[in-house]
Amino acid sequence: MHIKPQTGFQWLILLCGMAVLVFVVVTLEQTARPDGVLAVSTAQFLPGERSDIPTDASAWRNQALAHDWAGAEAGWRAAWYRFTFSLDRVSDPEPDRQWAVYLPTVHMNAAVYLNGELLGHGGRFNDPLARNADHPLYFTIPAGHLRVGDNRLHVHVKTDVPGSGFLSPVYVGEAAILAPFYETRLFVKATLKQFITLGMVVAAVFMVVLWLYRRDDAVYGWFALTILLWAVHNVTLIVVDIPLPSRVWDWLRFVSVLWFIIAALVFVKRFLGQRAALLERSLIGVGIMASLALALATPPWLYRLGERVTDSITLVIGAILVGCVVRDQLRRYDAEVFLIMMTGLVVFGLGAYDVLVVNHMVDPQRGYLLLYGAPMFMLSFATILLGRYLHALTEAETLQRDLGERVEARSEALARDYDRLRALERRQVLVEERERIMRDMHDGIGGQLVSTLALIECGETDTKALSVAVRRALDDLRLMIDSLEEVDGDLLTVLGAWRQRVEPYLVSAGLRMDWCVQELPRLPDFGPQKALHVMRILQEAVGNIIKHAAADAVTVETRLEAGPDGAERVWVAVQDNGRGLCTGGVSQVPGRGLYNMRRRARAIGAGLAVEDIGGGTRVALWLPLPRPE
Amino acid sequence: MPTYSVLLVEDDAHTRTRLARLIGAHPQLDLSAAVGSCLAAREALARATTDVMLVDLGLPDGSGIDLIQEGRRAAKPIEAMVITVFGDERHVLSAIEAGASGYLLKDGDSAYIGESIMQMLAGGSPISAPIARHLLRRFQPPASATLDGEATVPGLTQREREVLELVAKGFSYAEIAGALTMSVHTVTTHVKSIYRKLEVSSRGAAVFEAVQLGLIRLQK
Repeated sequence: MHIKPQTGFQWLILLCGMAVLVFVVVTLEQTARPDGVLAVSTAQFLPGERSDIPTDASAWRNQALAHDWAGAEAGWRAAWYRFTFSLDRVSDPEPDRQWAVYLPTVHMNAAVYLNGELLGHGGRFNDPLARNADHPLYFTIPAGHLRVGDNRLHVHVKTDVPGSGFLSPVYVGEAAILAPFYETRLFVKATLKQFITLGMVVAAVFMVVLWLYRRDDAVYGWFALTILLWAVHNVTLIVVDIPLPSRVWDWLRFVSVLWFIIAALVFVKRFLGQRAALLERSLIGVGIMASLALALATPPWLYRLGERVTDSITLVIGAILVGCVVRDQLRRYDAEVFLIMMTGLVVFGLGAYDVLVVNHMVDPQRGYLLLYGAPMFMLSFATILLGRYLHALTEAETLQRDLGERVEARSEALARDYDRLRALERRQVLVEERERIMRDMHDGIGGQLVSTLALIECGETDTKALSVAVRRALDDLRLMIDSLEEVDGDLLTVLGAWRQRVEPYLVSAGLRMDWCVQELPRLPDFGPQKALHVMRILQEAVGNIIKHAAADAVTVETRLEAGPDGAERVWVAVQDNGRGLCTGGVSQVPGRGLYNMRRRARAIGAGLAVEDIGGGTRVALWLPLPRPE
Repeated sequence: MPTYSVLLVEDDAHTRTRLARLIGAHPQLDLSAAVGSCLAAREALARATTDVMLVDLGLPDGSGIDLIQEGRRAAKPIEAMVITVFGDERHVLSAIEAGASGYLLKDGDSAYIGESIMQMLAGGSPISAPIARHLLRRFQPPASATLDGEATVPGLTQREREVLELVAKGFSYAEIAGALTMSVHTVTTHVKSIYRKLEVSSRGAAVFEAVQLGLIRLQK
C-alpha cells in the first residue's frame, strides 16, 4: 500500500499543463499576424534552384501567402518571391523609427533582399540547410535602404525536403511594432522549447540516478529512457544549424519519436503493474525493423516512409497506450491513473496534430505542438514516482527505527548477560586463585609449620634446629610473595628474585653462584603460579646441591634454544661441579624431590631433565614458547 | 673508626629485642634507643642526634612512612631503612618514595644486619630484581612530554638505566660492576641515586597532583 498524494493534485497538474498549451497556442496565433504594419499576402513567385535574384524577365507568377508547397508536382526545393511596396516618405533614421521585415513562418530557410541588397538570412543555404521551422525570421532595414516611391523586396526560400517549403505572409513596418511580435514568437517557438527540452534532460538524468541506486525498480529506468528519447526527438526539431547531413538527421527525427512511444508504452505498462512481455518484445521488433527500413530508404522515400508509415505506427502505439490506461481507469478509479489517462490523452492529441502537420493536413504555421505536452507529462509522472520514492523512504525509516529499537533492547539484554557472565568469571578467577594459594600453602609453609610444631611438641630443645625449620617456612612464604610480584613475563626477574633469596644460603654453605643468564623473550601467560613452580623446582635443586653434591660452585644458566620439533623454547639449568648423580652408587636426588620437580614441571607444561654431566649434576628445565603467528 | 647512632622503631617486642642485640653487637653502631611507637620515636629523635633510623612501617600509632619523611626533612637529614618481613615491592617502594635508603629483612642474621646498615651509610642501597623492573617501567621516558608536571620528574641517566636492567636480570652488584667496568661502590651509588630520584619524582608527582587539584597555588 502507499499513501496517495493530496486529493486534487491531479487537477492542479492538468490545469498547469493545459495553461501552458493555451498560452502557447494563443501566443502563436497572435504573433503570426501583427497589426499596424504592411502585410504582404500576395506576392510574385518563381520556383527554381538559383542563388542570384531572378530578373524581371523571368517567369514570375502571382501567388497568395501563406504558400504551402505541398503537393507541388515538381517537388520544389527552392523558390523566389518578390513584391513591391511604395512609400510617401522615408522616416527619420533614428533607431526607434527603424523599419524591419518579419517572416513569422518559413520552411526551412530564407534570405531577404531589399532593392537588390541582402538584408539577412536564416543561416546556411548549402546542405545541411539551416532549419528555421521553429525560428521566426526578422531583419532590420539599415538606414538609407528605403526609398521614397517603389521599394522591391525579394525573399529566397529553400528547403531540403522536396515539397516541404512554406512561406507565411511577410510583414514590413516599424521595428518598434514588429520586434515585440518577433521576440514573443521566438520565445514560444524556440526558447521555450529549448527550456522544456533541457528540463527533460535534467529530469531524465535525475531518474537515471534514482534507477542506478534502485536497479530493481526498472520503472524509473524506463521513465528516464522515455523522457530522454523524447528530448532527442525535440533536439532534432529545434536545432537550426544541424550538425549532420539532413538525411541522417531526419532519420534520427523519425526513429527517436518511434522509440519514444515504444519506451513510453513499456514504462506505462510497468507503471500500472501490467507486465506484457510479448507486447514489449513485439514493439521492440517493430522499432528495430522500422529503424532499419528508414536507414535504408533514400529521399524522397525516407520522408514518405517516415511521415506516413512510422509516424502512423507511432500514433497507433500511442493509441494502444492511451487505451490501456483508459481500460485500467475504467476498471478501478485511481487518482494517479486518472492523471496518467488525462495526460496521455492530451499528449496523444498533440502527437496526432503533429502527424497532420507533417502531412500538410493542417496549417503548419503553429509548428509542432507535441513538445509542449512534455511539461504535463513529466510533472504527472515525476510527481507520482517521487511520491512513491518518498513513501518508500518514509517506510524504510520507520522500519529502521523499529529495528533500532529492537537492536537496542537486544544489546541491553546482551550487556546484562555479559555483565552477569563477567561477574561469574571474576568469581571463578577468585575461587581458582584462592584454591591455588591454599594448595601452595599446604604444599609449603603449612607442612613446614606442622612439622616444626611437631618438633617443638616432641620436646626438641635444639634451638638451632628449630630456627632452621622456622626459617624454611619463612623462606617458602617469601617465595610465594615473590611469585606474586608483577614481572611482565620476564623469567630473568623471577630468577633474580629467587637468587637474592637463595644466595645467602649458598654462601654460608661455601658455594659460589655463577649467574650465566642470557636475554630471554617475554613469556606470555607467565603468572604467579608458573613463577612459583619454577622457583620451587630451582629451590629443590639447590637444596639438593647443598645437601648432597659436595660442590663449590653452582651455575644458573638460561638461553633460548630450538627444541627437537624446531619450535623455540626457553632453557633454564642449575648445575654444580660436585660428585654427580650416581658416584659411589648414592643417588644425589632423592626420589621424592625428583617426583616433586617433575610434577611441578608438568603442571606448567615444561620439560625437566636431571642428568649427570660428568663432574656434576644438571637440573634442566625448558619452557615452550608459543609459535610465532 | 666513626660510630653511628641508630634509632630502632619496631613494635614487636621480641623482634625489637633481637635487632637491638644485633645492632648493639656491631662495633661501629651505637643504639641510641629502641622504641615501639611513633610517639616514642619522635621523643627519641628530639632527645638525641640520630644518624640512622630503622623503621617498621606498621606502627600502633601511625605509619613509619611519616617518621621517615620527618627524618628526611630534619635540619640534618636522617638516613632511614625500612624493616620488612618480605622485602616485597609494595612495601619497599612506598618506603623509598618516603625517602628511605634501603630495607632490612627482619629475620636477617647479625652479619647481614650490620653489613646492610654500614653499606647504606657508605652510600649504597640494596635493590631486588622485581623492584628494578618496576623502576625501569616507572622511569620509562614519556612518549610525549605533554604534561608540564613531567618536566619536574627527573629521568634516569644511561648508566642508571643499564644498572637497573642488569639488576632486573638477577645480576649482583659485583657482577654488574664487572660488566660495566666500574667499582661496586659506583654501582651502589647509582642505585642510591635512583632511590633519590624516585623520592623526588613521587614528591613531584604529589605536587603536580596538588596543583591540578588546586590545593597549591604556584608563585610566579
